[in-house]
Amino acid sequence: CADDFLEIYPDTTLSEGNFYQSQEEFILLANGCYIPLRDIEKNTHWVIAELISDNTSFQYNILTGEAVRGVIDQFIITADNRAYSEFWNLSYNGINRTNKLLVEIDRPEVAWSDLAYKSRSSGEAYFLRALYYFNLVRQFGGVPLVLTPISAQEALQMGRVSEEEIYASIISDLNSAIDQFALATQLEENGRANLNAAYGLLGKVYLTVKEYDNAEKALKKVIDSNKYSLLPDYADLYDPSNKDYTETIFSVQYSENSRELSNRFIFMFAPWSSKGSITQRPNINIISAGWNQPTMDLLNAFEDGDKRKDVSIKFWNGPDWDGAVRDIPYTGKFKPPISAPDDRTGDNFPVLRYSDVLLMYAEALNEQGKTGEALPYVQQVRDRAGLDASLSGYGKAELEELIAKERQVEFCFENQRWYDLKRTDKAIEVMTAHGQRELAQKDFLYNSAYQIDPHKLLAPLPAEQILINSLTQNPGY
Amino acid sequence: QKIDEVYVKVSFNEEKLLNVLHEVERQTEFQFTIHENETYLNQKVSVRSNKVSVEDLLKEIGSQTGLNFQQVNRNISMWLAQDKSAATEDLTQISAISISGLVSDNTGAPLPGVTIIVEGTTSGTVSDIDGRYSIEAEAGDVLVFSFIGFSQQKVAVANQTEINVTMREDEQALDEVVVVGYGTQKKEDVTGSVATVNEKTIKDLPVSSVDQKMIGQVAGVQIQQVSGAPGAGTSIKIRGSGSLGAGNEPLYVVDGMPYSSGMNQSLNPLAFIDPNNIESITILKDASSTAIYGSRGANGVIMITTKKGTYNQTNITFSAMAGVQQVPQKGRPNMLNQREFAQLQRDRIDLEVDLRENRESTLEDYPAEYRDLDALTGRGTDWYDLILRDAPIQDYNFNLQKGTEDSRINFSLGYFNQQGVLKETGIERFSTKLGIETDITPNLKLGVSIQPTYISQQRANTNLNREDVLGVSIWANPISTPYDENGNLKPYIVAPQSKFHSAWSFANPLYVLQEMTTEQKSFQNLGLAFLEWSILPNLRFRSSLNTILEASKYFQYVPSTVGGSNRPPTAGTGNSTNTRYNSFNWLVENTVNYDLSFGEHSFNSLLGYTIQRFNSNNINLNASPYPNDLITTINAAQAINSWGEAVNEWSMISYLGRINYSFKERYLFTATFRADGSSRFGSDNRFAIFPSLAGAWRVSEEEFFNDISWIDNLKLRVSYGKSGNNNIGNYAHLANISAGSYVFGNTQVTGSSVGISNPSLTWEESNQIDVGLDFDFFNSRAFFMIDYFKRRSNNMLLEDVIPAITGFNSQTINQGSVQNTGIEIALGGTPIAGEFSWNISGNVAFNRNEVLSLNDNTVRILSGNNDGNPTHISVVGKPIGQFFGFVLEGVYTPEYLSQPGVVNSPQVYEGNVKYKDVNGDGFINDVLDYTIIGNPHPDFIFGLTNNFSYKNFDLGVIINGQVGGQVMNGLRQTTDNLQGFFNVDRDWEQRWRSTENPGDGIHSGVPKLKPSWGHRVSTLWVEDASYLRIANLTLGYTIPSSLSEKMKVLKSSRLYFTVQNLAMFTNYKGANPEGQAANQNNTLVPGFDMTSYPLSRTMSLGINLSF
Repeated sequence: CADDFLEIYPDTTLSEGNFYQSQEEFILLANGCYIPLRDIEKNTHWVIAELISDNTSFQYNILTGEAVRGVIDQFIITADNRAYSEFWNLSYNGINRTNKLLVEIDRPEVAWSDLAYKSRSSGEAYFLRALYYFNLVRQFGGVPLVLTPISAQEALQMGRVSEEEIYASIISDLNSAIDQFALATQLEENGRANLNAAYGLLGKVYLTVKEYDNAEKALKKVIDSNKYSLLPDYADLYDPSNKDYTETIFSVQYSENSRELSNRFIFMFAPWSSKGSITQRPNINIISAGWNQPTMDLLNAFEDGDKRKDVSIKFWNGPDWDGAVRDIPYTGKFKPPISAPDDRTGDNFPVLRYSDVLLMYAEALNEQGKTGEALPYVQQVRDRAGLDASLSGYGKAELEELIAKERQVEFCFENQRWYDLKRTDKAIEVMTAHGQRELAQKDFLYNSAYQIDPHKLLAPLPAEQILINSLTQNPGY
Repeated sequence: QKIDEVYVKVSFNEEKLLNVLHEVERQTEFQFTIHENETYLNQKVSVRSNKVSVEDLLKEIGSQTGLNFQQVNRNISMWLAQDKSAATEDLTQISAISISGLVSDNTGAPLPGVTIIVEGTTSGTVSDIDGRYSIEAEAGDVLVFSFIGFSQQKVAVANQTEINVTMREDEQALDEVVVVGYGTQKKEDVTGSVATVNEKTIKDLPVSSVDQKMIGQVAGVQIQQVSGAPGAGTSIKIRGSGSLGAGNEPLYVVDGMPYSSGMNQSLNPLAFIDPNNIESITILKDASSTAIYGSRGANGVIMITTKKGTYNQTNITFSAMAGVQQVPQKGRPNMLNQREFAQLQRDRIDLEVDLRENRESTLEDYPAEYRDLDALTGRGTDWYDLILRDAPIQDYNFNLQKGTEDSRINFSLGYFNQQGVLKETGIERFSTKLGIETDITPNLKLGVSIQPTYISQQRANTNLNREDVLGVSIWANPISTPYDENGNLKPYIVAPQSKFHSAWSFANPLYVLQEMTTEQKSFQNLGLAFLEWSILPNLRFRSSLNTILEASKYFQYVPSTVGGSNRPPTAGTGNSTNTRYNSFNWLVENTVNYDLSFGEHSFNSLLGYTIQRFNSNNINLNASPYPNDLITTINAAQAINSWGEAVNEWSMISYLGRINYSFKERYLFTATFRADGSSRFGSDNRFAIFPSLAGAWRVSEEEFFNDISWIDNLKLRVSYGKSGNNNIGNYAHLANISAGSYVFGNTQVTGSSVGISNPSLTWEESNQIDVGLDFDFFNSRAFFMIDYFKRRSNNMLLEDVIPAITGFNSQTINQGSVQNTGIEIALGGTPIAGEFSWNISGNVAFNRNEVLSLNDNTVRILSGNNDGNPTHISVVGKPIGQFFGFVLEGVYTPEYLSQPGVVNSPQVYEGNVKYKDVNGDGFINDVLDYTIIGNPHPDFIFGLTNNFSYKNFDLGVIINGQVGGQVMNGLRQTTDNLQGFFNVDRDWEQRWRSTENPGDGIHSGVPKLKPSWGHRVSTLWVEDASYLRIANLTLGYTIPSSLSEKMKVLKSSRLYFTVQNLAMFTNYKGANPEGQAANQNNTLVPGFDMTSYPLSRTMSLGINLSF
């Protein structure tokens, strides 16, 4: 009696006791697995995957905290940098959501009216878990491998595992995702992960671990599905009013309808001194903007006549950080809000595009010596950019270099550059040269900027996680 | 010796009362005032007792015969309650001098029941219900007038036939019975640290709630007036801060009902209790007295008892008070005047022109308003003054108490109205109380009471940020004017602008106050019903039901004519916020009291079972836009933009008990326990047990003390116990399914996730040891009390950082501990007694707070927020909530810059602000170079109360204050901000202007870079919060009873003049050294003053009438 009197559950929110009933709840949980990914891309991933690279830098602005973002651009990388901890936290938050779903979905009492939903939800969880780990392993190397929901006490017992184990888990998860998605192809919806997204991501994973034959096989599946093609006009990819799913295989979804659903990329990437003239929202204070500013290195990477340049990079004429009026470059891939009155934008953020699949496929072939077979796929991407000169006669090494450059310009601002540099073992060389050019151009950089030490290719584990969890820090930090 | 200290052995069955009394006289030294011809003496009574105190015996007799007894030294008088004419009958039979007269108290009110005895005899009488008496005596006799709670008076008869006597209250005696948890106790039997507030001292203070009256009255109770807004809540800390995550406010218990804990800065929960209805206030401080409140007692308990009727008396009182409130000049902002402000703006433009066009600026570059400096004389618009006013305050209370021999009724009606010194703010209260108690049979008592109160409050946004009306009025441009040429109020002030100069335009704060509506209307009823059954003379059972019903609505309307900073008003943008709240809280308590005495042992025990449940519902709706501002109800809005509903419930089952044991009346022990089961605790930890033990030794009762005549009472107390804090949220232990949303293409979907649960989540625990000494001397004319305590709070509710690989970064857990150690001293006395009397009491409390441990994983808790940076830090080894920021070193000088090794950065240039590089890495970074820059906790707090009286005049002065402790003025982020949109503090006249004119070396120059960081959290913001305040001065005049008597109906009347907050002495430049931003947690972010609603000085006149 006393216990009944003292047993009170909230009326206005659900609690776990009687939640898992039917597919309805698991669809909700699967939807929930995407949410951390959205927040990662919105706030932090671009800092550690694009800003850090030679593609972009920032408009000088002392108030916005060089302690977090500006230092990463300058390759001053420390374990207390919030960008890494935010990325770490959100990634594991996402992983926990997928783990929870995968554990609870087998509850016998759940009444499934259509088992395809069970397959799709499992597939989504496997796919997203693989994606979260893929980003983690590319940043940090081996990390703790958590595949079930754990308590704080259990977490304290878990250490890091090797990079290989993480990749093995990612590959296994993607294969599971492929198996599950194959049973639910009729339930595919725009924006949800699906069978081809799983193949495409698997291809990228294999490419990263340099298993080119496996990469080739996986990517071939996407090409052979005949579901995807390149949009004729590169600019259409970045038209927020026309969300594209013919070239985009998987993208993080945003909408201007609410604060939670939206991103504010243009409000971060426009020069802060431009106030409302680029964002078209003069009432929104963008004092902490000016990020991901295209560098001269990126500008110079575009070949003459590349149609992608004007789409990707725009200029604003006005006072710069020091008050002097200049043509200030900024990214053109992210657009002001269509109708939201404030800083809510709905541009989706691409994770896997068809052009990526084509270039990866070409790379996988080229690395296996099938240069001739690879050329048409590169040609396809260049044709769309208006660079239609024939590539015939390219040798393996030439093509390798061309693909790298193509990837740099095709995917600028899409969080690919840093991973590509690392994957192709070019990071030290490229960043050293880039750093020297930046130091020569900009007098506001730190004295210690651009010291390209090899250990910095692996990000430091967040300092507080080292403390809490007694994890081993990466060497050099 | 007192009747409760003397024991007799009696055993009678149907014996005449007369014989019983004679037997008592035989066994003791007491004498009864017996008129042999009284018929009631023939009544038969039965008493069977091995050993019983005279008091209990007489109570038992009283319950059988309807007699009342009164002890006067060795004499015990008695009278039959309804027999008013007994005295006059005597008159006819005795042939000595007949003396009659009136006995009244010092306010002139008649005193019934006063014993009048002819000294040296047993003959005497008692004053009747109108205070009148008559007695026969001889010319040489002396009459002795005695009454509990008053000093004895002796008057020689001589030839007088009329002797009127005014009894003087005995301050010491008044305190004799104190309210403790679940009962009352005689003061000398108290073993814990319990303080009472002298209701008389604070009676006439012109404030809205009792907590404001208690300021300076009790040692160790820190009452902070965090806002001066009418009806605003105070923050009360008893013996420091013992919790990081669950609040530090004490538990209030009103007439036995745990009333509220937790601070509400907008509307004080105690504002619902009309202070005129309060009879007594007791503060329980140590664990032995708070443990009986178990999981809610850790922060101390404030017990409030409201008035009840008295048997056989009718009292009608009426009091009225009216006054005016003003904002003192001290504490008002001191900003740049017109000319200085224009010069600052011109300096900014000069820099801008140089930067952009690389030339000297000309007059044309300045906005027209700034061109002619000589025309700008005087201060300009004082926006702060513009929105303040002299505001009236008034308070009326009517109180009727009527008692017969078996029933008591109490009725009161109150009206309070306080307009705010900030225009368009105020509070209005209608309160009433009706209480009835009746003795159904001599041993069965029934009572009910209701206390409905309605409050209507007009609010304005203050204590928030620079955008609120007070914030704007401080930084607003002094050159702009609030009225246009035609004398109409401008809704929106457009700041002077030019090509080189953008500045913040703003809504006219006076216009905002006038046009914006923010009101809260609340109703609350306190209900009580109880039944008390004396099963045996020493066994009592009580069952009670307490309820609190509350309903409130909040309405805010922002019309489209009200703009914001840089946001001009736009037609058709009006928006409204509506909130509806209701709650019901019920408590059933069943208690049994059993008393037992044998030999020199005496026991008093209590057992109880209580059950309580609370539920509340809150609905809010935000609607906009409104096509026009004519109709502001929701139906006129085009859409409801957001809405929500919150339901909160908790329940509690408790078992409690207490044993008081005394041996030889000098060795006292108290043991208490309470077991609380709460819905808030996780299923693994549902019941919490809180025991305590206390002992006291009344040293002065020992035989060896008999020779020390100047010491009346010396008692040593020691207590140890445990109490808890259950303010951990209602559902914190459960894993909730939280919902977010995601979008696939254009389809918005809900995405859920499962939270982390903590089934072992539980209360915070506080262990406290207290050692105290009570000392009364010089015939109780002086007293001294000292307490030492050490309170250690464990299992603190913390958001603990957990490994992120769990998917979560924090979890609410019980960990960490905080210790408060302190000394409290209270002392006072009556240095002068007689026609002129002087009464003084003072208190001082020293408390040292220290965080002993936090969670396992982090070494510090950062809190507060200013421009995204923390303002406070809590670390192990320091008090909670230290100020955290840059150390300001001044400005960069050419000498410094010419040193080798100075790290070059765009912010390092001559005249710019120089902060200390705390971590020594060569760079100045937010947070990384922050350090502890101040301590908000005072070294000690004190209060001093003086009461003087001469004839019919009385004068009271209350002083309180704190020494040590600092305050952070958060608005400095704006008023130290030379970036130029805002007016800045006058100190910036001393700013760096050029190498030749470097100013005072502390205030940096107009920044060259935008944004500048000359206004980061720094030592500049931290100021000394020590203060001394003359909190109240009251001068009263009691109209002589001879005069009021002539008015027939009037028994007494008193006129008074009072000044609240007469003066404040402090070095703090802001409005209120106790100010606290409403949106900052005052445990982790204490002492953060932001646009404080100023405390007013109130002057008022009042009258108290008694009929």
